[in-house]
Amino acid sequence: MSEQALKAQVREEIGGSAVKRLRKAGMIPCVMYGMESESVSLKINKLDFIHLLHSLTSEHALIKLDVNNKKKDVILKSIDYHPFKNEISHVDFHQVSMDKPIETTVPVEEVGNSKGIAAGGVVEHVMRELSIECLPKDIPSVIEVDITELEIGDSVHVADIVAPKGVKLLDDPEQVVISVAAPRIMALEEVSEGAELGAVAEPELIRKREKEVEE
Amino acid sequence: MPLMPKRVKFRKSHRGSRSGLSLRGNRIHFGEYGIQALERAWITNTQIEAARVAMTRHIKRKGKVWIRIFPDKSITKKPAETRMGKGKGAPEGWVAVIKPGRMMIEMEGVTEAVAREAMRLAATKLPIRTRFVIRKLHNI
Repeated sequence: MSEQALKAQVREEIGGSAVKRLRKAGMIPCVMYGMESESVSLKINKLDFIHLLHSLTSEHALIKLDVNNKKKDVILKSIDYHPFKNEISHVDFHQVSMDKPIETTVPVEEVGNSKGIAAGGVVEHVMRELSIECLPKDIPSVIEVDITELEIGDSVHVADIVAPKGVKLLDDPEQVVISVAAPRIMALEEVSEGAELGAVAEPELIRKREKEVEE
Repeated sequence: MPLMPKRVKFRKSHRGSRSGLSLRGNRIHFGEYGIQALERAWITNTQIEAARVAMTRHIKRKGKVWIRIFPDKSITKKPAETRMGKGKGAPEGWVAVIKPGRMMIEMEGVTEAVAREAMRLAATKLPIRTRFVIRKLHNI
């Protein structure tokens, strides 16, 4: 995995209104924490961070964070977004030790064209991410799952996936990751007819039922 | 059977508050594409059903659809030409309280062009402004 660099400064601005002013000035408030370090409030440049995000291939990529000219190895732990505007409100960095394994998640990527899809089947993504344990330098950007041989009704389990070197899969081996299902014909008219009636049927009251049981 | 709860604790509810943003349920969770609310509203069960039918007709009932809102709030109405007072009206329907940001419908198993058109048709059945969203690694 390629390593990216980002500059950060220690943040003095604490509290809602101060952080709002910070965001208006084009900065993103963030925090850095880890097993061997105290939690530190930081701020980063919004545009620099967006450029970095676009260059990343994995959500939890390894980043060299430059905090006041001291380099720290961190991974992106979480990004908080505004509920509907495409704006980042906060970022969490997790400081890691390069010689200690960490637990994280990586996205699953399907490879190949399934025979089942050619026969009219639909791919169902049961798990879009897999939990892994590995050294920070070994975090893969994606875990590829070959679906070429999947017929309708077949599925790939966690046990079927060959993890990259140095990576340990933590999910239950019996769990389904991707399956190819027969196309389901959704009920269309049945429900819509009932809805068009417009009569308000009243649901059962929970209290009434309890009273009846008591009697 | 229209969309409504099977069992409830109380027949009538207060109007409640619609303020704030949808702090949860605002990202694509199940499918590849979604419709996100940009305004706040009470969306009725018939509107949800109309959106679902418009969408499934367009995708020719292929793919997979998730409806992530449910009308669990009863609304009441007083009969016409009734004087004020004499208590709260009779239950008239069911609504889902929608705040800006809410991911209302998700879809998977169709191409982007088909999903976009299906969701446009669905959005025309809803009383609020919405936007089409695609699952991405980062939402920026």
